[in-house]
Amino acid sequence: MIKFENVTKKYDDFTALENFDLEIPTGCAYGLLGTNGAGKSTLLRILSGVYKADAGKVTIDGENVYDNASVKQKLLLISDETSQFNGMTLLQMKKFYKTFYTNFSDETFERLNTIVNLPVNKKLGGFSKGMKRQAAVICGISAKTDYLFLDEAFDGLDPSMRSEIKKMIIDAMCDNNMTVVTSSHNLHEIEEYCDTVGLLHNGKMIFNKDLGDLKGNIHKVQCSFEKEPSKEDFPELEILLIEEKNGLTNIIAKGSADETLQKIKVKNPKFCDLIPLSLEEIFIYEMEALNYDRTKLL
Amino acid sequence: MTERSSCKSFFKNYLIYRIKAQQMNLILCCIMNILALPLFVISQKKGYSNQPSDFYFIGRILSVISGFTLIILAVYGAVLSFEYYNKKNLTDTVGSLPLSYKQRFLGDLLAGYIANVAPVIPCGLISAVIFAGAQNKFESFCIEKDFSGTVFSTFRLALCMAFSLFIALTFAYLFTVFVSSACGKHFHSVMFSIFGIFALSGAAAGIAGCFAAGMLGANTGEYMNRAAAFVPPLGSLIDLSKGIRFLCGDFELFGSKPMTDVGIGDIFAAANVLNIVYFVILGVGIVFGAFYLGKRRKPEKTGSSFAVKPVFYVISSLMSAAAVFLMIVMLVKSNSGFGKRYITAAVAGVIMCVVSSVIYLPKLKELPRCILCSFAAIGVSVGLAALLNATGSFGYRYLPDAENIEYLKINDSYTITDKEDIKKYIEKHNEILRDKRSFLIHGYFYSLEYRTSNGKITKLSYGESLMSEGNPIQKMEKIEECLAGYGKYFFESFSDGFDDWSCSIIDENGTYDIPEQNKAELIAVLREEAEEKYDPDAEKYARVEFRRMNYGTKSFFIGKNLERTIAFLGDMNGTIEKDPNKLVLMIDYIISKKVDGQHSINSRCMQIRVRNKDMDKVLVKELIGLLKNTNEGSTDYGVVLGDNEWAFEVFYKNFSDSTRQYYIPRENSKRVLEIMTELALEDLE
Repeated sequence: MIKFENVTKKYDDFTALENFDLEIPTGCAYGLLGTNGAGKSTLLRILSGVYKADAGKVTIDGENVYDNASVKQKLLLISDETSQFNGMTLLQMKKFYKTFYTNFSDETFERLNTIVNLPVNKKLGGFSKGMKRQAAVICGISAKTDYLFLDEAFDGLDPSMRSEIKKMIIDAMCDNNMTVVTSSHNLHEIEEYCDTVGLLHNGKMIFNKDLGDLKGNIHKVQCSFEKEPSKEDFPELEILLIEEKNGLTNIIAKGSADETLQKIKVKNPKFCDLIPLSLEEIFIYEMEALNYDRTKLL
Repeated sequence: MTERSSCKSFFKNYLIYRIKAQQMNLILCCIMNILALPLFVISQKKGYSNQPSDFYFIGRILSVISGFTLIILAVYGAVLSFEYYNKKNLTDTVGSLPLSYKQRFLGDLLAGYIANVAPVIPCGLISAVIFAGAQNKFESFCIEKDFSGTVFSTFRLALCMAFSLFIALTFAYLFTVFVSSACGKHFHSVMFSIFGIFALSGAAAGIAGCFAAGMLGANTGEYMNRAAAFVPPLGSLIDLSKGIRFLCGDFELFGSKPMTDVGIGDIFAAANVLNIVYFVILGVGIVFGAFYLGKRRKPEKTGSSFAVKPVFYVISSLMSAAAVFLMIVMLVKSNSGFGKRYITAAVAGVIMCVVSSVIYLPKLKELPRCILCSFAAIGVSVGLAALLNATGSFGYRYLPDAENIEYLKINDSYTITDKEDIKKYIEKHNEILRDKRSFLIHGYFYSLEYRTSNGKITKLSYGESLMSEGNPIQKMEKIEECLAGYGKYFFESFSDGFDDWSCSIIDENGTYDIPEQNKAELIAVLREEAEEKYDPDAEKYARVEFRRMNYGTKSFFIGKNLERTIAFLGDMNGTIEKDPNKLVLMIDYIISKKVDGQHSINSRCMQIRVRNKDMDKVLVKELIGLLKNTNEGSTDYGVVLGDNEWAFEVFYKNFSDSTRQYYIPRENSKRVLEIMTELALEDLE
């Protein structure tokens, strides 16, 4: 269990995190979203014990992380930069991680590398950005830590490789009950395997929800009425958006699918149909409901 | 237990990993040490029998370069060891590793030390053993003044060099670790470590110099060297004119003996308890400081110039202070005016402030604080220097009552017990103390040691004064000469007004003025002394001291053994006629027993030529014509027989050494000696 309690982190005059609270249960795949400078990397660095919080408490399994070697043994951070390994070959990189992580599995490493097929004796400096990231991820997964933190882990990966890496992470989570926290500014990247997402903005968590709940609790209904309806015509519904386009009315509302349809049908639409929403759309509408300008959030 | 074991194991693994990361440094450091140590040993040699002086000079230059290279290597190695202080990506990787800060710090500290400093020990031992093994070859290569030539001595000399280098590199490394802990960029870590090293030594030496010059009116060089030695790594490097002097003797920090008196290669002098305790405390202090700074620094500051800004302010202030103090010491030497001295020193401090600020490039809002700090340091430094210079206080003005003085020892050599003489010295000495002037900084200095009847010893040292000042210390200089053999004549000069001081004796130690009225008597004394010492044996010739004398623009050769010089030259002429080969052997013998440094008898005799422009140029030209490669010699009009029996060395008009040498063809040696005799006789007339 990861716990942030009233955490504040400042860089001189800039506040990266302010009175931040968060709980991530064990085994969760948590997606951390936000624009550049939102505080995602800071959060991950504090979580990994690289940075020390100016105020508040950060614990993993009830223990403080900063300067705590035994807790750090349970976690591994794959940073957004991998150039520090440029001088190493993949084998040396593996050896490096194996030095510090007692559970490192050679077998897993070999298995994962057969998937990505990276040259083991070539210096990482000669790898492409995507290959370096693959190397970091396969080493990170092979370390078999309880917690894996990935900072912009999918940057520079092509779609097929992105999918492979995601699959690797999902497998690792299933095999080891690993808790994964992934930061990204792209919702699509984490949609497939994260079960909870949080949205950071200006050092504050403005949104933190289970993805299943989120998807199940917001729906888009396309319908047609004799007369253009307004929000006030549906007082029982928590409508996030209502708009008319080419004679069709789109209603985005919170609540279960059946309940939403039922409440709309009461108004005798000419037709009424439930349309699937992408996670991005759900996010946008949620944010707009919270009076945030979505263009500034993602 | 398991957790503790695994922690230890992680530490060990981390240490190995970090050492491996610096394996190139390790290799480079070993190579540099293997190359540098022999150079250091050789550069300590005082003279060479079969090598041209160029070699000696190049040896010193190379030793200076390799010494600094090793220090730079240690500095850079320290920065590399804590690379994650300067690289953001490494900060993330290293910071998240399952290691506590303490383990990480110790791992990096030890790994860097093993890669960049420790090789000096095995390399030093190897060097020492090689030197000991190659004893015979080494000895024929060069002759060391203080080197007895035994296997143990060579071994010890090399070992001492290694030990001293070890101290210097250790502190260069530790100091850089300290500075790096406060920096956020490679460039700033390296630059401010080097600046800091120089500023520390500079400030220590500068303060000591101002203290010595201002308060004691003493030989500043001695105090500066000793003060600088307290702040390694530069220590004795501060005196670059002498080359790299990683002499253990120079590390006798708490000794009462002047550093120059401490024997070369005396490892036991360096390894005394006080020195070791001092260095250990200093080293541990720096390590703790670095540990604290590293803990205090915010990892997110990686990439910015300084993560712990106060360290910048301290280094910048030190740089300004060092510039101020050193400039004042330099200006004291040039005898500039009070106002000019302090204004120039303050400007030097401001320049340093600008330099450090330009390198740091602070944000605009930080600039006033940077300027304020440096200006405060400049103000305090100038104020302190002025205070030292103006007051001359702090208890160094006390001299014992002449009545209670058991004896007075000058320069640890000459002892005066006569009460009347002691009284005169005390009077003159008090005059110096009252005068409170600043004196020259040259290495030649005088010490006066008073021992009172209750056993208490008061010892004060003074530097060579500016001749133009007519300072009483100038008169004190003559005391030494007085006691060296011509005492009473110099002593009389104490009471005169120096108006008639147009005569001087010049020898390798400098110029000694002689009062007009004492000239004739002095010559008589010299002749008498020469007579006493006269011995036809060649070895005795070699031990004879020579003096030259200037009177107005005219130069005289009035060596204590003038007659013997003539006799000796005549003797040699006779020898050549009998057996030309014997002469070679004779000169060779004299040179190998050379006791008075740079020149043999022959060279001293010929030095007259340099000074006297009225000498017989025809003879000089003929002499030059008898030499090979004489083009340059003929333009200089000065030819001096050098250390080598077949070598002539040119001395320029300003008496500076020339590295050019001229070899006497064997067939011309007889005529060369005839001309030398003729010139000497002409001089006598």
